[in-house]
Amino acid sequence: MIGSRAGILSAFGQKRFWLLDKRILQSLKRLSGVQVIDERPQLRAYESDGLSAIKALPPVVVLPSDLPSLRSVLAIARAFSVPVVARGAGTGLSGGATPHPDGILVSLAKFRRILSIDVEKRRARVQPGVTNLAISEAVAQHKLFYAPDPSSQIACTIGGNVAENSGGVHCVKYGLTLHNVTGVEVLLLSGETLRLGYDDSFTHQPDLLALLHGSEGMLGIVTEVEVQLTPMPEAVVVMMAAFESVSQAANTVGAIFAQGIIPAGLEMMDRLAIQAAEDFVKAGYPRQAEAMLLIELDGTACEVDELIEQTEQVLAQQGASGTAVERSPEGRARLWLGRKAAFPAVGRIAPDYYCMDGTIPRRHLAEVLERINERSRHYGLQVANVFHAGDGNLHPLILYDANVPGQLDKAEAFGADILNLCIEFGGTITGEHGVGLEKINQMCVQFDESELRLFHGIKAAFDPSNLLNPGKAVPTLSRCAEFGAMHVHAGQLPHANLDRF
Amino acid sequence: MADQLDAIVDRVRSVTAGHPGWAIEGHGSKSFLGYRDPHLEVLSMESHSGVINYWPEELIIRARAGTSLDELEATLAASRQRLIFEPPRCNLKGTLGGAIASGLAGPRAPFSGHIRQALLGVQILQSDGQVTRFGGEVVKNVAGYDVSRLMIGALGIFGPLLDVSLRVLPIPAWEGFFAKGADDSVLHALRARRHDVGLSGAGIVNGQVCLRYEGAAANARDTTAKLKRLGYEVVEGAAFAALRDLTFFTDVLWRWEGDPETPLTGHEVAVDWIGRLRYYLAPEMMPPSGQVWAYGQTSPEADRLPVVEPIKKALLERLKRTFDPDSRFNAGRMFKEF
Repeated sequence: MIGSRAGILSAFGQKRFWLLDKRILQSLKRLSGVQVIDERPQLRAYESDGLSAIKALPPVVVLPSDLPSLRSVLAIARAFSVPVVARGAGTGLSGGATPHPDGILVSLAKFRRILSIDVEKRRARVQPGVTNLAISEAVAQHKLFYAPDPSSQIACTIGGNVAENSGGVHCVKYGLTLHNVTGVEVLLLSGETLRLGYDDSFTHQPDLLALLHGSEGMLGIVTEVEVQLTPMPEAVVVMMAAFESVSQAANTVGAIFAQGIIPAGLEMMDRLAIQAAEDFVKAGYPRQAEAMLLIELDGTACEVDELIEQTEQVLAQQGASGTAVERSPEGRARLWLGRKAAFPAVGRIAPDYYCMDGTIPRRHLAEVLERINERSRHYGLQVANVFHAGDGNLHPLILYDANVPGQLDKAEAFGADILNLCIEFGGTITGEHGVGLEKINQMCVQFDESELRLFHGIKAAFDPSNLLNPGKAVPTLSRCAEFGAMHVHAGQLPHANLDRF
Repeated sequence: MADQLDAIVDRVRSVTAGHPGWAIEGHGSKSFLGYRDPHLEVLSMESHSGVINYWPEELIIRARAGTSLDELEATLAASRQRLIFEPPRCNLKGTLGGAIASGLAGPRAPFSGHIRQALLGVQILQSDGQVTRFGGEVVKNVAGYDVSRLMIGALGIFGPLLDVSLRVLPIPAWEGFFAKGADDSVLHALRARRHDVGLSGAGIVNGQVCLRYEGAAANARDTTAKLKRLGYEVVEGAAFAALRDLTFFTDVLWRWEGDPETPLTGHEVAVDWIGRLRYYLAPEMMPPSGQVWAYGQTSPEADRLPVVEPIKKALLERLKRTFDPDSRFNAGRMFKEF
């Protein structure tokens, strides 16, 4: 979370204690096929998403069971001009599904049917509440899988994946959610249904299907998703390489791509993350290394042999040591185990951590990581780096202790510095977690007034009454004025010779 | 190669009352798409050209909208890289901006080779002269709405693209072309190959099933042996050059897109995308159901696009008003009304 909590919640307006208009509750309870929750203890379960630092108790939660009942809920929202926030599994990390304190929270938990699987076309049609992993499990018998794999894939829903345009470890080769979705059905706040893609997914007309991806529940509620299924590769191998310096590891990332190798996954961990993971799960990581890379390669068996040879050459040229190659499913799982357990592992060495999500061009990895370390010394807070190096998608974990006065503020200032660094180096404030409430102030840095105006215009084209997830993702112009952000355009910082941090 | 940004901005900013509005143009090679209102003043982007940033190890290139596709692809080829999608070069011409705005992608589209897989960022000019930037030079980027990809296939109705950032890929170590003569089950023969590993193009040209495979050098031997067993011959890539650049298109062409299992009518000029995309010389030659686009057949009264549902059209109209409130850019190009 960036900036003070009170500051972020003010995006929702001043009213903090709200009594739901009884007529709204009565209307919702009269709907058939809609479960209504309005008892305080049960409402608590919905007060935040994965960004638990920001909480807002929703006055009412509804769980519609089908499209007509969801449409009826929206009709009530329109009639009473009440905000609506849609929610999947609530695993999002940016507050995109934080309830509106004056609004109706719509859970899509009952939309959890896989509607059809077309093995021939390699497509599956599913309801939005189906979990990401459930799709891959359902098609595994056909040697197919759904490629995007956010770390929350066991719990996160495909509807939420579309709303956030989720990534994951394998998107360096297989693309983001939007590259693996062929169609979505969306319910607009007006009650109209919009079907995008499906058999028209290549037809040339403005790409509204792409526009819906990553729109953070602001434009419509996803009611059905058609996904592209990918054939499982014939062979998969995971390589591990240790390095004596972070910059050596960072430069190796670029060298792998320069060689023409597109890994299925390419992850980097620094010393603090390696040691935390090793202490936690004993994956066999090099404890003495300053940094390590995990490289997954896949393809046909002979293709993978060729890729291993090429990769080994690059690693040798770059001065890597301790290279390991695992072909067996067990060996690969062991190497991945430490990476997958890295966040909880870091959680064991500090009372609190704060996860960032900026992306930078890969060529700047070494320099940006060095600058992050410099800020780490400045604030006196440790930082562990464990991230999608192949995409330049950083996940610095800032370690702090919320019980030590001032540390939370320091962590937030440090986080803001990191996001500004990402923009300065031509990157973005969020690679896969979304803006939500968390990074809304930094949007004022990444975009200027005319760009933000266009964003608001897009929102108004889909939701003229501004009732769908209001106050998220795109800051108002007055908010930016208040925040006093300095817009950094294309890396051109005004007075670039001055030290900003 | 020149940066003409200031000149273009000045020109757009300096319009006076009564100006007819702008017709955005690159090489003018896609004039067969939509309706070109002759009353509009041409806003040429052709001279705003050149590669801005290219780091081969990033697999990302950023270039000005007027950059010719030939120049762009030559730049990439020098580092053994290529575009992910295959934009048509009609009459061997075409600019980067036109490639995005037209939304046309060649034979690789069904194999993760559509423009959507490649486009990362755009700079767009607003009618008041403001220059806006969306997306950027990184693949993973979810800050703000995906305005960049909204420009794919928009025919310039949201304003001129000034520059474009694309993800690119290494040229695979091996690429092989295969063809087999037709019999009455030519569509069946084509469809039978659709799940082959490494397939990157599959169509019917001159009555022959034409296949393209690519991948590691190690895949060449097995793939070639297998296709020879199936009666295919190793050929040159001419069929795919034709499918990409629409070399069979002279004055009029009917583009049909639909269910790939739909039987052929026998009047196909060419078939691409494993049967899903087909070209005909007249509407009565096409199968009954599908999305139809008449290339080079536009008049002020005709529909420019395949039929668009009312809700989608209403949204596009509202988006048009957001981006271009006074309808200064490419008015009437995509829809009669805006």
